[in-house]
Amino acid sequence: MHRPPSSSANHGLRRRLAGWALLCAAVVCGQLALLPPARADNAATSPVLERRVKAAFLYKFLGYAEFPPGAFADAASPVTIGVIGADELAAELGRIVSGRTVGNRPILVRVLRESELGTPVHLLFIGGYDSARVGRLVRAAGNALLVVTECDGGLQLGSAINFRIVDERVRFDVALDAAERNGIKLSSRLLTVANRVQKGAQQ
Amino acid sequence: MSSMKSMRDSGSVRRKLILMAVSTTLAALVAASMAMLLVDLRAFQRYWTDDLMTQADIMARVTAPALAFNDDETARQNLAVLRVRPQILAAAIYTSGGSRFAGYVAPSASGSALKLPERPQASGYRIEGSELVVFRNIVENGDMVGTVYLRARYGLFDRLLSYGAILGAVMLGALAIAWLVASRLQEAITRPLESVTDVARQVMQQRDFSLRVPGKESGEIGVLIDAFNDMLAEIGRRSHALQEANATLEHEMQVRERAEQALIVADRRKDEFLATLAHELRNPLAPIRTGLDILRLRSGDAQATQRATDIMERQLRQMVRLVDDLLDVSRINTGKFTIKSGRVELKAVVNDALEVVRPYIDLHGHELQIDLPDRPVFLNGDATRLAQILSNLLNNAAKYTNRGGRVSLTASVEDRTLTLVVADTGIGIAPEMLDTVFEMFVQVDSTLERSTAGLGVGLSLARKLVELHGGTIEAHSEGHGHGSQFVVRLPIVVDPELPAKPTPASFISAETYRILLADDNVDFVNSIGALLTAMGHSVVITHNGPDALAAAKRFCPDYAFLDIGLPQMSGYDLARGIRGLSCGAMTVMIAVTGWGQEKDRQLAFEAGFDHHMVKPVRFEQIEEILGNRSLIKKLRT
Repeated sequence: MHRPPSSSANHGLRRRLAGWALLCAAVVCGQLALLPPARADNAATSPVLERRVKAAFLYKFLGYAEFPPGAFADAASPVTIGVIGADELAAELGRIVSGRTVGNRPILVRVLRESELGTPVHLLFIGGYDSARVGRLVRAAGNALLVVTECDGGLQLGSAINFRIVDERVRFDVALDAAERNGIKLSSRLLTVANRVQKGAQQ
Repeated sequence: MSSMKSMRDSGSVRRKLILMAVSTTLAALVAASMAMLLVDLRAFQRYWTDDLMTQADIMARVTAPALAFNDDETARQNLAVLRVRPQILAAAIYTSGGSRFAGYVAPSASGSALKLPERPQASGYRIEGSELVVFRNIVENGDMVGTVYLRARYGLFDRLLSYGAILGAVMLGALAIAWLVASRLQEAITRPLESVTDVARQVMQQRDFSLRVPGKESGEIGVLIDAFNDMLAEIGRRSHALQEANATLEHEMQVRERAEQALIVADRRKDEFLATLAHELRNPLAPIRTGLDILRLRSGDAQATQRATDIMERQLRQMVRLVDDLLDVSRINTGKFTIKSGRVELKAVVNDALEVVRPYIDLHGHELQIDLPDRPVFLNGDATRLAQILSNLLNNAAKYTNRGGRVSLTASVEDRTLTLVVADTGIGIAPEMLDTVFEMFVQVDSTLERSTAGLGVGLSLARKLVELHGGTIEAHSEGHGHGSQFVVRLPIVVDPELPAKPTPASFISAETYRILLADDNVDFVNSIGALLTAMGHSVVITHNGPDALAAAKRFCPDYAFLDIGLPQMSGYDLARGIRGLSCGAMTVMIAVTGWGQEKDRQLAFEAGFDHHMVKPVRFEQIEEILGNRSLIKKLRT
């Protein structure tokens, strides 16, 4: 009950003092970064909290997604996360991924403009709740392998994962065909916690 | 009682052997069981904890996404899967922050006071009583995202109980089998032991050392049985030897007792013999004295003189016979009884015997019947002794036959064996006496009141003489009052000499000789001298050695009858002196002595004597020597 404020206080303090320290920061930040979702139970309604939870989820999706071999230039190539229409979330995500790796690959967060939609990224988060706009952006983002949205009917618009708020919690639906179209395999373990899993028939 | 005791003894051995086998098995089983139990419990614990850890790891892996994406509902569903593992009592997921994210309590434990811990603990396992508690960190993508908590029943104690029960059952079964096997195998030891015990008991009870423990065992038991059997054999041998020694001692005792008895009997017989001897020697003296009285008082009455002379001669002959028998008895007793074998004719022997006994038979008024083979039968034996055998038997027959009886002598020859049968119609012999009549001093009826009862040596002498001739003698009788029969068998018949034996010279010619007599027994030498003078011979009588030698020198005798025991000069010296004379070589010298033993004869012949005569000398013997003169001359020249 009393944790979330204290966590938030710590969070703010550390960001200011040792945000860029390498090892120490990685440990502390990892801890901090993972804590918010647990604390999110009761605070999903807070926009800030929602944003932070979604950022953490984006990072965690990488651990359950297997990209096709051709997605990386070489063994040391970073995993690129593109964020469009959610700059604050991108900043949050940048903090979360700093010093972390996925499959021994560093993680790179890029904030994209609409003009930059053609940029090849491994994961593209399209923020915003305007279905028309999101649908347009999804169609425009041809080079993105895994598209995550947060608007209603996101999956119908072509995204692979779409965040939803269920019982004041951040949940997500999964469209397997959208992911498989780009050669991405989503772990069954991810599917066990998905709010809804959509197979290819609906497309 | 003892059998029961032995049963108990062998039973105790059997029980000990079985107990030994069973306790050995028990010890081995307990050790093995303990080791198995320890190993098994150790493995069981490891397996159990490993299993629970694995369970926790699976649970961690499964619930990691739910934890990552903050999906406690899914986490609860994941935990609920543990229903299929009823031994897991409770489970929980904790966030990395330490708060409980999801929980699960098994339906079986829902009613109990089981409480999920509020905070997670360090990764690892812990045993709390009969329960096992495991904490496992949930690590996802290198990050510790939470902790899994599992609480399970720890079945170690149950396992211990069930395992112990199984081991106990197996142990009981194994002990039963061990007991069966041991009671089967112990027979290999107890059966030989029992047989040894049985035999030992039988030996103790029956004293039968020939018993042996049967069977062939190997090893120490076999050695024991062999040693036991050997000991029995040894004991048996010794006990047998002891018994034999005892039997020998007993036998010797009996022999000695018999010998003592025989000595007592012999002693009594000797006493009786002495009494009889005194009586017998005394008996003839009275008639002789009477005869002397008649001669002195009625010397003019020729008839009376003749009768007295007859009586005296008969009595004298009887006395001589007695003394002869006595001498023979003494020779038999000293083992110096010998015979001088020569060729004799049966009729001459019978005549000699009859000459002795006929007056006695006539005196008793017996009828004498003689039956001899028609042809001459020649024998190789001692003529005098053969005659003595017959005279003893005939005399015996006459003596034990009542007046007017019949005495018979039958001779027959078959295959060089002469069989003489002397039979009488006398008082006979009791069957039990048939064997003993030939023993010394034995008389058929010692109480017999007879004028001439005899000394009891006649038959004994007869048997000895028969045996010296290599023959046998038997007594037969139908019993008292049925007479008796003595059968003598002598294997001494020889072929007749082809040139007829020259008849004694004395029966052909009545030559007269010069005869020298030397004896200090004046009556004897004078009476002999008178007889010889009456027959026409020239006789010189001397009473000592020197006179005799002087007479011989002057007289040149044809014959010299010399007493060995002469005064002043022994007969041997006298003989040598006579042989030294110029005319002495032709003199026939006869030693006359009371000593008739072989060594006396030898001494006489060495001194130069031609003949040896034992006193008393019968006149017939002198006549016979005189009749052989021509033979001697022939030998000398």
